[in-house]
This record gives sequence, structure tokens and C-alpha cells, in this order.
Amino acid sequence: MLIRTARRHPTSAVLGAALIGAVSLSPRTASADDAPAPSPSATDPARIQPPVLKFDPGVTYPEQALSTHLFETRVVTLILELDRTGAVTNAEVETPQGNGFDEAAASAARKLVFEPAQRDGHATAARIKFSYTFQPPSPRLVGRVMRQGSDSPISGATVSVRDAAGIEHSALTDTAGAWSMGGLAPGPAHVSISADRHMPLASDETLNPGEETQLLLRLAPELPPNPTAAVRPSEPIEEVTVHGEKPPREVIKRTMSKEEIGQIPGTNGDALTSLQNMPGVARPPPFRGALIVRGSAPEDTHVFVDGTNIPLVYHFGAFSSVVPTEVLEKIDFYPGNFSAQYGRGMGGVVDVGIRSPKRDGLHAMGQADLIDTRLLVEGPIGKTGWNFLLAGRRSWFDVWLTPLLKGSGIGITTAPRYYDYQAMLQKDLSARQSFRLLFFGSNDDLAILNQSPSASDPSFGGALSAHTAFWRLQARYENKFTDTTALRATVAYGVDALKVGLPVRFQSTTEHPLSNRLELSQKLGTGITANFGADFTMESYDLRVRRAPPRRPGQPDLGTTDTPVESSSSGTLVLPGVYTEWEIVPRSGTRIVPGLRGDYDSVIKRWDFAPRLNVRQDLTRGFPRTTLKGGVGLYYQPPTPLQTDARYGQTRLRSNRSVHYDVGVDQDLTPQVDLSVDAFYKQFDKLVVPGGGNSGTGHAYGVECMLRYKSDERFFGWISYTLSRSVRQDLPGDPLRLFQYDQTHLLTMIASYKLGRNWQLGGRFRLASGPLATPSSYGAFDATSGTQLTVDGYPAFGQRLPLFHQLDVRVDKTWKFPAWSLTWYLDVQNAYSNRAKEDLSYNYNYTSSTYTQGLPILPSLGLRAEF
Amino acid sequence: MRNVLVPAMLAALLTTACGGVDFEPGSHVTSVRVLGTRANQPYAQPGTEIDLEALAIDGRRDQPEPMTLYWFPTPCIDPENDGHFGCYPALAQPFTPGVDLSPQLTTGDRFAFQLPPDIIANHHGQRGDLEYGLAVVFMMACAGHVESLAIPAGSGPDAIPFGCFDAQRRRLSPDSYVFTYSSVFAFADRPNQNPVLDGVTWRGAPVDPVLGITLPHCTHAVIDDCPTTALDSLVPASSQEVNPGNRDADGNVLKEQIWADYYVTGGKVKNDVSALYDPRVGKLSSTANDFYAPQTAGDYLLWSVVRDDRGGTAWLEIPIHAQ
Repeated sequence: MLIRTARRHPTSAVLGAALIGAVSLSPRTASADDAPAPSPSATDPARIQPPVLKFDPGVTYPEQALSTHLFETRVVTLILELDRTGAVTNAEVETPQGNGFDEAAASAARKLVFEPAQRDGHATAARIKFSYTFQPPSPRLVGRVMRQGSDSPISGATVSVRDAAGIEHSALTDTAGAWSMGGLAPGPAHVSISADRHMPLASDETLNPGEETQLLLRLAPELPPNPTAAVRPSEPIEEVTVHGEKPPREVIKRTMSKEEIGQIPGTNGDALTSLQNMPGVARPPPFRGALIVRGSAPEDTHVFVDGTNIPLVYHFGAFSSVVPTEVLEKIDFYPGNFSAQYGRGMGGVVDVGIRSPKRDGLHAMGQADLIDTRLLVEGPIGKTGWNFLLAGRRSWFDVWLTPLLKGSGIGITTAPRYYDYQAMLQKDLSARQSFRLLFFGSNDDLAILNQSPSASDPSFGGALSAHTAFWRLQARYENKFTDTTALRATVAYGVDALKVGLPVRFQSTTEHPLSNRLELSQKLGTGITANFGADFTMESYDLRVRRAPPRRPGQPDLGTTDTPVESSSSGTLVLPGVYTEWEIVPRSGTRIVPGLRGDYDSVIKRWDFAPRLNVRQDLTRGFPRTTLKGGVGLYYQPPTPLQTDARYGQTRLRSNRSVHYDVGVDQDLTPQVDLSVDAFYKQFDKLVVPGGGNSGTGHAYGVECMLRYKSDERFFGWISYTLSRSVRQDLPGDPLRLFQYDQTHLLTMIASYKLGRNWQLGGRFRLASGPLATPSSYGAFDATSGTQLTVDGYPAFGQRLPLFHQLDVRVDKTWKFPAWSLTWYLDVQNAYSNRAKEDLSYNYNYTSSTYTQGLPILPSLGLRAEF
Repeated sequence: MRNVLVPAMLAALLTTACGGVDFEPGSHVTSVRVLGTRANQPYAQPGTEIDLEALAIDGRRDQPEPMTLYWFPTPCIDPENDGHFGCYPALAQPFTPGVDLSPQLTTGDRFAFQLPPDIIANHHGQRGDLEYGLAVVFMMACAGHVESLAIPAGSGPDAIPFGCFDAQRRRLSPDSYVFTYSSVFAFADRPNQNPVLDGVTWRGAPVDPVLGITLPHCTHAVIDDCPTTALDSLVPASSQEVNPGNRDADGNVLKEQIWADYYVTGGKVKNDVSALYDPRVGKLSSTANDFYAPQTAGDYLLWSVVRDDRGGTAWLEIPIHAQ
């Protein structure tokens, strides 16, 4: 991988000073050595020796010129006055150049030391002309060389650079995989990296005067010499194509490598579940798997697959997410202050990158555990230049859950099961163009016949069914026209379907979203890149719902006894969005990203304009790096179709609104360990409230810390801690209440260690404030339906349940064979079986209560084969 | 499209499948209980005379004061957004806290009132384009007398503004009272009949409601170890009326949902509720419940209260003789 950034380099001084002027020697007098010098014509050259330069500390190309991108040779001539000792007593600029050159020259000249001028063999004061020639600093290349997959540094790798002057430069990487190179000629440069037991890698760069270009290159382990090819070396080969990644436009961007995702204990190697280990992400309620980010509701956080929004994050019961880890390249997670390229969301953004197929022969993978079975096949299609990837997964729930449910008297008509699928065709059309076609989707089904419903909700009986599905066909075209202009276009079409049916309550929606996203990046000059983008979604929908509408806050939910409303509507949503975002690097280590986004919603018939600004400032250069960052931005989220439904929801709604503030610092502690601290504040207003229009307000604030040991050959891990609070006020005059998903403390500690002989042991410990519950007490009895109602605590969610803590352990063992590998793993969730207090449960009339407990120890055994 | 129903279903199913917490089942009657109310017309036309009958049981072992059913004399018409709690302020307004209201309330197990002729026209809580009216009748089964309460500040709107007090004016616990409401919907052209409960079967054979069921008592220490007998409620298919207001996601008009609530004063039923008819499936194939014999010899009572999802109710009381 290649990370390419442009940062101006602190130029080394180029001393162009020369003693060029005639020497004016002061008259030798007895009274004062600093008497005004006579005119040169009055001197006697035969008896005068000019001063000789003895010490020159050098001069630096001025920062002011660098910051204005002035990269030119400039000469500054000075008149220097020297005393009898040869020290400079005054420096006057004779030919001003501006842009900081004059000040730099004068300042440097005052530090010059001369052998004093001689008159008749005696030291004397003098006035001389002195010139500095400023040459623009040469480009500088710095970087790190990492190992693909594990992302561990490679030391001793050879980095060779052939600059525009045809001069070869070379350097070796240190133990952190770092290297640097200066004195390069501006212009195109060819960079090549080689290291023992790794595939070489090359990259072409354009170097600009005064700029520092950062490269992050990841080398693939070398294939062993085996004529049969497709042979596994001593460690897994992760086929990852070289691609560029600039510093984030966002204040905070958290990225997890595929290997880390696959090895985090307690997640069963699931991609999106692993996000719950990041700071700022609260522990979700059981079986929900919701992404609760920085005190926002789960529905406020949007998930994209390579820029295309998907409606569903998790399969049935949240045991696993809809995109399997095997097809991932990476997951980018933005908990707040995200880029203007993302809109219509107030929480966070998760952008899942699907990797390209492997090209070095046919590969396959199979995995089975108690949750699901998955298969993957990929490789090149002959010599056509096209590559393919096919993957699929199906759950095992129907095998072990069906007998459990049947044993309890619940009839199963459709056993619970899910599956998902991915198919990809990819081709590099040229060195600068690529095209990719991706088809992916997910399908969950469950139907049961519950003949023993609960007395508290008799309608929760009979024939129940749940069907959720979506698919997308996505085409992506990328073209890097020039080194300064790039285009990325994505078009996707698909279907979202939801059918959840209780006998007397149901919701059915079918949506056909057609979306596209286009972004053009244009480098306008040194340090300025403009990004212009547009996304457009047109979505036809059919909605049928029969449920009691949500009641106004503070009014109790009458559940079964409430009067249902049936609504049926169809229509087309038109959701265009445009944005521009500028990446400005005005000076070395400074990055300013202003952006503006506009979103239109055809239902509420309004444009929402959201300005955003993110700033990063490196306080130190090189290692250990210290970066300050901050951001502020406006975020809108339109109401949902259900909320704007004429019968079920409300009319005249506007978008929910939030202002995100973030300040933080990233600090390298060692080459492997870094610390990130962020403080955030989110202000909410115009929140849609049932029966209250856009009356909701609130705020969330907190501090997130993450101490991370970056993955190396043996170890990865991190400690994250979040302290936060999230509150809401539904209606004016209502009390400020804790938000339903508020969690004050959230601590996650993860460590995974390779023991040797291909054993790997990992653990995860989590400690979190307990969930919030609304205490209920004895209320009225609905004698018509036979349902006991409650008197609910007011305001809602006023009781904090006990602290949650859980240890998860994972053990992996891999056997490696010449052509394939076999991995066995045991992932034990809740290793010491501490059953979490998830909610309150009550007796039939709510006069006594106890805690609803979570699952006990839950081991999962899996087997994985790859070739 | 995100929906919480699926995880809620899964959580509920797994809770069911894994067994819940061991509370005393709601079907076991050991306190003052109201098992149901039955209107002569669950869905009625405006202006109709409505007769409400209550099935209330005093299951307390000790009964210092007898249970009395107190009906609030004025039905609440058209509560805000159809929420019964919307009636509370008006219901409590005529009464002074700390005063025995019993003389001002109607007692007995029946209550009659007339639906206003304009109940539909004046309905403000309409949801969707369905035209209907709603009357709510309040009643308290109380082993003492009723007083109005001062609701503490900060309480939610569903805090009950009445309490049950003994002769010493001590407020009684929920074991000694039940505050109930009954809803009667008014439709111009949508009738509904109460379901018909033909009887109860015991091991598949009909039970004489007068003679009841005779069985040996169980000698096991734990009731769940006792032998079980199949118990079912006989509801003819004609009771499942078409429900014009319930169409499924495909637009098909469905029928009513019907279920049976069971209550016992001794022994135990396996499930408090048994589904009988499903709106889509119709009569369910297996509707029987399991009855565990009482652990002590004696006479007990069993009730089957059958309900449809449109306010229709029927019930039957069966004596149980454990020998």
C-alpha cells in the first residue's frame, strides 16, 4: 500500500553568500574604531587587507516563501558593518526581495564571524557587501515499509530512488520500517523497494520543491519457488494492490486491518461486530448489534459498501454482519465530523471497502463454525485481464435453534436462516483506469407458529414471520487522468425488502434504490486539492404498515391494546446531494479541509446545506509524531418514510440536525504504539419526535482514548476508553433525560499474541456501564384484552442496570501444507460466564421484578481451509 | 428499513425457549383479580345501550374485607389519542383526595350505559381514515373502599389517581385491588360478536361445567414434576369473524385472532395463554394446554376466558375436585 502525502519540508539552508563587494575600511583613529568609514577612494589599497569569512552558520529558505509556494532562486545583497574583531554590527539589505528572504538574510548575516580587515597590519572596522543566494529546498521523501496483512514493519528493506536528474539514491529502513531521503531533484522519481523474502514493489512519484512526500508501502511476502504456483508460503499472502491513501479529510478516522478483524476475540471474526471495540461505540442491546456511536441512535449511523449505502448491517440476531470478513479490504469508521462526501446522517459513518480479487492464480477458502458456513473462490479469468471473486455464506441456525424452539412448544414453519453473497468482476483497463462490477446481497428468513403467546402480549402469537433482504449491483470506474486529476464514479441499483408480520401488526416495505456517486479530485497547485462530488439517489418505494403509531413522549406504550393504524403508500424519493471539499496544505504539517454539502429531499421538499471544517496540525515532524486535530460541522438527517407517512407519521417535518465538534491529539509513543485522545460534543436539534414535530433537542459529549499497539509479526492490541453522556429533551418543558443508549463508561482491552508453531491466543475484556431501563410498576388492567398495563417511570430510561463486564478468549491453530492451510479456532464468549443484566423483567402484574440476563458462556468452534 | 421487531422476536423466542424467570404465573389466582369484562356488543353502533359484565375473583387466603366492584358512573368518551389515561384528569376532577368515594360509585358485577349518538362524529383521536368512536369505562375491584389520590409531581400521565383503602384508611397493596378499564368501540357498519365458548375438554372429552373435573391430587413436591392432563377450550370456527380492518402485507383481508386465557386457584396450567385461531392460518392444529394437578386435595376453580382481538370475550368456570 502506498500512502502519499505532500508536506512542505523544512528546507536546509543553501548558502549562496559570497564576498563580492569592495571593502570599505574605516579610518584608523585613536579615538574610535567605529568611526564612519571613509569613502573607498580615500583608501590606500596597497595597505588594506579585506575581512575574511571565518564562521557561517548558514541560512534557511524562509518559511514565508514556502507557505506562499515560492520556489525560486533569490539573491539578497546586504551591506555589512564589521567591527575590529570581525563581528557584524549591522546588516542592511541593499536589494530587498520580500517573502521573508530579507529578514532571513539579515538574521543569518548577524551571526557571521570574519577575520577582521587589516589596515597597515592592524585590525580595523569595515563595511562590505555580502550576498546570500537562496535556492529552493529540494524535495524530500520519507516513508515506511510494512508487511502486507499483518501491517508489521520491515527493517533492512532497500529503498532506491531515481530522481529527475537521473541520480540514484538509496536508503535502508530502520526497525520501525521507516526511511527518509533528501537532496532529490524535483520532478518525476521512480521509487523501488526490495526486501528479503518479499515481493519487490515500485512506485512513480512526482516530487515538488520544498515538499515532503510520505509513502507507505506494503510488501507481499515472496512466493516460494514452486512450479505449481498458488503455493502458500510460511505466512498468509494477502493480495492487496498498491493504492494511495491520503491523510483523512476527517478529524478522526479509525481503520482496522483485516487480520485484526479476523482475530478479535468474542466477535467470531466478524467484520462489523469488531467495530464495537472502537472508542465511542457503545455496547448494543442483546441481539441487536446496533452501532451506537457517540450518543447517537443506531439509525443515525450509516453503513456504506464502497460508497453505496446498504440498509442492513447485521443478519438475524446480530450474530454476524452482512458483509463477510473474507471479502473485506478494510473498514473505515468515522465516529463524527465526517467528510462532506457523506450526507443524510447525524451519527457516524462506516465505509466498508471490498477488496479486489487475487490475480496470482486460483484461490479458495472454506470455513465452518456453529454460526455459519462460508465459501470463497477467486482468481484471474484466463489471460483476459479480468479477475473474479465469488463468495457466499449460509447460517446454521436452523440446525441448532429449531430443536430448541420446538422443545419449548413453538412451531417452526420456516427455520431461521440467513445467507449472503458477493460476486465481483474486476479489470485494470490501463495503468490509470480500472473497472469493477460487484453484486452483493443478503437474505434473512424466519417464520414460526407460536401457540403459547405471552399473557402480556397475546398478539405475539400465531403465525409470525420476518423476511429482510437486499441486493445491490454496483459498477465502479476509476480513472487517474493525470497526477493531479482523478475521477471515481460509482453506480448502484438494488432492492431492499422488509416484511415483518405479526398476525395483527405488520410492516412491509419494498424499495428500489438507484444511486450514483461521482467524485472529481483536482490538484490546483502545490498544497491545494479540490474535490467536487455529487451523489444522487432515486428510490421508488411501497410501504404497508399496520401498527399503533408511536405515542408522544411521556405517554405510555399501550402495546397490544392500542388502536392500530393501517397505511399503504407508494412513491418515489428523489435525493440529490452535491458537495465540495478542499484539502489545503498551507504550510508544513498543516492540513485544512473546509467543505460544504447540500442535500435535497423530495418528501420534505427542502435543501439542507451543511458546512464543515476539519483541521490537522503536526506539532512535530518525523517520529514521534504529534498531531493536533479539530473539526466542526453541520449534519442533517431527513425523516424516514414512516415518520412522514400521512397516516402513520406526521406532515411538515424537517430534517433532524446536529452540530459536531471535535478536538483531539494523536501521539506516537513508540514506533509500534500510539495514543489517540479525542473530546467531542454533539448538539442536536430539530429532532423528529412522535406527535411533536421537530421539537426534540439534546446533546452528547465525551472523551475517547485509544492506546494502540500496531500489529506486528507477533502481537496486536489496544485499550480504548470512552467517558460520555447523551441526553435528550423531547418537547419544550419536558425534563432533560438520559438518552436510551447512553453509556457513561466503556472500556475495551484487546490483546492477541502469536505463540509460535502457528498458535495464536487472544483475549478481550470489556467493562461498560449497564444499560438503561424504564422501571415499571402496577398499573391499570385492560379488562377487554386481558392485559395488565404498567405505570412507567417518568421520564423514560431512568434506571441504570448493573455494570457489564465480560472476558472473551480466542485460540487459533494453523497447520500449513505446501499447497494449503488449515486453521482451527475456538472463540469463547463470556469465558467466566458472567450473565449480563440486560433489562428488567416482571411478574404478571409488575409488582416484583428481576433482571433479564444475557447469554452465559458461549463457545464457538470453527474450521477454516484456504488454498 | 431497519427494524427492531426481528431482534425483539428473537429475544422473546430465546427467552421463551430458554425458560424465563420463575415468577408465580399470572394464571394462578391468589389475590383480588379481574379476569375480564364482557360487553353485550363489543363493537356497537352509536346510541346503543351497552351492558358490561365483569368476571372478578377474590383469591386471597385471608379476606378481612370483602371484594367489591366499584364502577365509575360516567364513561369516558373520546379520550385523547385513544389512551385510557387521557381520561384520568377528568375522572378524578370531581373527587377530593382522602374522601371515601364509594357512595358515589356504582357497585356490582354489571354496568350499563348508552353510547352517545354522536360518538363517531365527535371522535378526535382518529387514526388513519377509519371512522369510529371509543368509550372507556373504569372500574375498581377493591377489598375496601376507594379514595382519590393526589398524584405526586413528576409522575407520568398513566399514574392511577385512585387507591383502595381499608376501614382504617390504610392504602391496600395490589393484592387487594385491581383498577381496570374496558373499551367499547363504536362503528357505524362493523359489527362484532363475542366468541362462543362451547366448553372445555379434558383429555379430549367435554367437561360438564357443573360437575367439573375430578382428579387425584399430585404427591410430588415440585408441581412441575406432577403428571399433566390435556386441557382445551372448544370455540367453533364460526366465532372467528372476518376482520375488515386487518389486511396483511399482501392486501388480503384477514380474520380475527382468538386466544384463551386460563386461570386457576389450584394446580397449574403450563401456558397462561393458548392461541386458538390465527388471522392467517385459521384454527390452529394444537391448541391444548397442560394442566398440572394440585398438590393438595380440595376444591378449586378453573376459568377459560376466550377473547378475540376486537373486544369480544366469553368465559367459562369449571370446578376442579382434587382427591
